[in-house]
Amino acid sequence: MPEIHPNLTDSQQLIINGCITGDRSSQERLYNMYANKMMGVCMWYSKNREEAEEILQDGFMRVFTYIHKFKGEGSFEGWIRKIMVNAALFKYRNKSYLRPVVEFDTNRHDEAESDSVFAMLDAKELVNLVQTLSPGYRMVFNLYVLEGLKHREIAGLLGISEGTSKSNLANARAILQKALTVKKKTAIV
Amino acid sequence: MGKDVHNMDDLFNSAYREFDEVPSADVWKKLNAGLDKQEAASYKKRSAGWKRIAILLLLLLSGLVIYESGLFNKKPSNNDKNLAIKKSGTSPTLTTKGDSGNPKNNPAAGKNEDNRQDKKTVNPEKDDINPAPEQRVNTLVTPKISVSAAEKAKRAIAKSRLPITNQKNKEAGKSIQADDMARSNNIIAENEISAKTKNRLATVDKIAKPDINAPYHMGEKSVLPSLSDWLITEKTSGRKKAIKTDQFKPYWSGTVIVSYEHADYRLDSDLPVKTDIKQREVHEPSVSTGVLLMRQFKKQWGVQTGLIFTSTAIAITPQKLYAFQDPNGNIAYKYVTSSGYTYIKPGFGPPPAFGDSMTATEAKHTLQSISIPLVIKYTAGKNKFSFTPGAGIEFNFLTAAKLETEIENSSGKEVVFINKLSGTRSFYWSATADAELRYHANKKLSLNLRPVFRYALSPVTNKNEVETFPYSFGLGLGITYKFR
Repeated sequence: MPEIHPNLTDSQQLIINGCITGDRSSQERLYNMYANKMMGVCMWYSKNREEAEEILQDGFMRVFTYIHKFKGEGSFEGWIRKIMVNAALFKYRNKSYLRPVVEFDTNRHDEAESDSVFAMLDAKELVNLVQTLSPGYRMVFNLYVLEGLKHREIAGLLGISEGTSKSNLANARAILQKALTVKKKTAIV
Repeated sequence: MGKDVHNMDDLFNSAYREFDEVPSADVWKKLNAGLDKQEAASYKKRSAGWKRIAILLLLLLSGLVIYESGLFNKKPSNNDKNLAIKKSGTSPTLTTKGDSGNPKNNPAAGKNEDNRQDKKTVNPEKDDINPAPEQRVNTLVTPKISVSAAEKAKRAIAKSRLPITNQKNKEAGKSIQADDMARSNNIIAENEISAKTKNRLATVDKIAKPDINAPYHMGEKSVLPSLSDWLITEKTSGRKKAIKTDQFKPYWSGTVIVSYEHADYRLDSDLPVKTDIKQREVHEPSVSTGVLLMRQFKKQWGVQTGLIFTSTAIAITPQKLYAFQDPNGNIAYKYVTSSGYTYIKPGFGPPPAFGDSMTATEAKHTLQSISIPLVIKYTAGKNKFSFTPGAGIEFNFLTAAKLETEIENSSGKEVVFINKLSGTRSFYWSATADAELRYHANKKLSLNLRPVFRYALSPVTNKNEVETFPYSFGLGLGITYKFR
């Protein structure tokens, strides 16, 4: 017997109930409802669009498999978003990225970036910037900045030390700042 | 720097919250295929449970058949026991009964038979040998027993235990002698008791000379017939039938069958859809094939089981489908068949609304099942031909309820393939009867012509608009091989 969640609208409840019973049309409706949003999430955690689509597919498979476990605590979108992030983490762990990380001099900053520079960039460009990071840096940066996790939690999730997590974050920020500076200069020219 | 970092984090954070991207259409296609695979795996997992139950049932039935047939129950009857003693040509060993043969109670008897020859010679004067019928003997005796000992034992029996007077004994002895004379040529040609026995004492004399070379064994026990048994046997065996040399031995036989069947069904419903379904659906010839295993436990009686796969095809004429709300609240076109229903949501055109209609062209509906029959068979006939009618029940496991059709409206058309209809039961019972006519090509092989009738005792549908009870008449051909 499907649960009734007070936080959900009737249509959401209907779709969820349909998905629990394995009804394909309900699953399709759910997918159509959240696919764009979740594709956006996956883009942040992948190096390109193809990888993002793989994560999206894995994530939705998990959503349909475990939808009966959704207890209605918090928003449904937040629950799906969390599953997508977990799918990305799973992919990251399984791929066991061993690419060498280019050391970056984090102390060297030509000048402070102004708000106006940031304002010039749209979300798509920022995603592209994050995608240029190495998988390790990108993962730490996303989990810390976008998901708000602590270094201890990140270290536990990625199987690294807290120090490595902090170091990766600092390096990721430095890379991104440099990239932003380049973009600023390009924009001024 | 700190301010920059915070600005940067906020910037990325807000971009993360608002960023959307449209995935390619391939993602849903792959996801759909993945869900199909998952569903198939889940279905397989569920059907595995039924398979286990079927196998367990088959094993239990086999066990029951084997038990009933007495394959491992070789305990001979008292007659056989006495017969064995008579056939030995010498006197039997002294009697034991009950647990005397139990090694725990009788250490001597519990020892290996091979060592029997080394057992001590019984000294009747020292050893407490009581040849009375109920006496339990704890020592084995050898054929080298002395005459005096036999005499003493004989006297002891005569004096103490046998409640027969001398006169009666003489009469009994005469009677035994007469009986023995009459049947000596048939049964106990070598038995010393027969012709030379003059009276009961003579019989006792034979008993007092036990033959340890041929003790009667029942399992691990050395069972020695009692004197009273002996006498009773002597008196009555003449009236009993002579040894049957052509006794029936239970055997197994396996049959491979292929059957062509005409299937139909009985629909049970008060709704008008019952008539519609009956008019729309036309059964096509169905086919059954399988392997049957039969245990012939009596000359004329046997039990048959096995596995039969049946595929039934039903052609459905074109019809108009109407949009309904499915149990999940979605609007889709409902397609109802005799054995289940499905909701079809076309991949073209706008989503259907209540009252919308769509045409489904001719459809093919296929039902597949695996059956485990349990049939009692009676065999009549001799020589080359035999007639083996049977009746029993079948456990049927529905493995597939497929539907293939094409739907179309003004927006377009598409082929729909449904692998598993809703409203179908996974299991149903049926009664079955057949009448095999066998031609025995040789002792092992026979060819069968097998008319068969099946009738479902429980419906194949569950929560469908009609309750469907399939039945079929079939004519099968088979080859039977006897394992004996």
